Amino acid sequence: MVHIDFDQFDDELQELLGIRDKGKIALNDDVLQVPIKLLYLKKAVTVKKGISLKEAIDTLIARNIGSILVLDGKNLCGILTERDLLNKVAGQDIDYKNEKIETYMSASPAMLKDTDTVEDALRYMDEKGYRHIPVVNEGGSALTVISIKDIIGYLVEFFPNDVLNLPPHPIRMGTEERFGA
Amino acid sequence: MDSKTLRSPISVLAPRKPICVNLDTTVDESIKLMKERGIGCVCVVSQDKLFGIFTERDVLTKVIPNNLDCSKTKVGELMSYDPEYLYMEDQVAFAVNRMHVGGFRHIPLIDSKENATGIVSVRDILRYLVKNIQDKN
Repeated sequence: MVHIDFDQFDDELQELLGIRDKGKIALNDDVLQVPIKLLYLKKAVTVKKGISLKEAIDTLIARNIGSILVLDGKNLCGILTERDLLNKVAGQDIDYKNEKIETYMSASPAMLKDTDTVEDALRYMDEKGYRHIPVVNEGGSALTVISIKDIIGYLVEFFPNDVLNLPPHPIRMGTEERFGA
Repeated sequence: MDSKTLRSPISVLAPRKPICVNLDTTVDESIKLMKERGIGCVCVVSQDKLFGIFTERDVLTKVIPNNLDCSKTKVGELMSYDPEYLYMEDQVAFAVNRMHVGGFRHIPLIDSKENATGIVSVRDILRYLVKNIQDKN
């Protein structure tokens, strides 16, 4: 998840966007022209081609993540997401231990460079319906993943008072608190 | 995009109607529905009242590792019970908060009768925020 610490807000990002007073700003298109590398994305969780589907599933569960990147040597060759598992694995009679991850991953996934902008990521997410996109640095190493949640996180951190400092429940006029689900 | 964008009611997102299943719908049927519709979750209801939500994450963490017989397991046994919900009139900020802080990808919406009336996804929120950013130009 993206986290921007405004006390140490990146000078580069601040200057780029001309931000003086967070929370009282109106974001315009400039905020989408920021290169992805200025968002603090977590290092991607990667696995090697050839591992079993079971190992891949165990990794997704243990790390509490929705996608993993699959490497062939040092090169990215696929991404396995919850959606792949819903569409290709769930409800099927599959021997997870003896199946390879590459049979179920999405091969040759679309990638972004960390010099590409937030807007580039948005375009991929919107047009192609992706929720996670792998990002590489200029050297082609250092993999991260940018997700829809990361971009929402990046945008709302500009409005901490409106989103992060909320009462536990909305105040609703004339609505009784309900019990159960 | 400014504070007002976030203080608007969730109804401005024009949320989609939820795809609902009953407590005794099988996991098989629920998964089939999610695949056919290309959606990440179904709302689990009883007489239209929201009881739970069954998501891709539930499929990953509860169905797949346990090798369940999906044709015999009821979705009511595996759903996430008592999910975070909101009303159409609540501020968009609360939906964003639940997703950003709570990590949820979908928030069901209910009405005063506790009926499931809508669903908001992270994708809906992102589209709305970006539209408001681009409209500023």
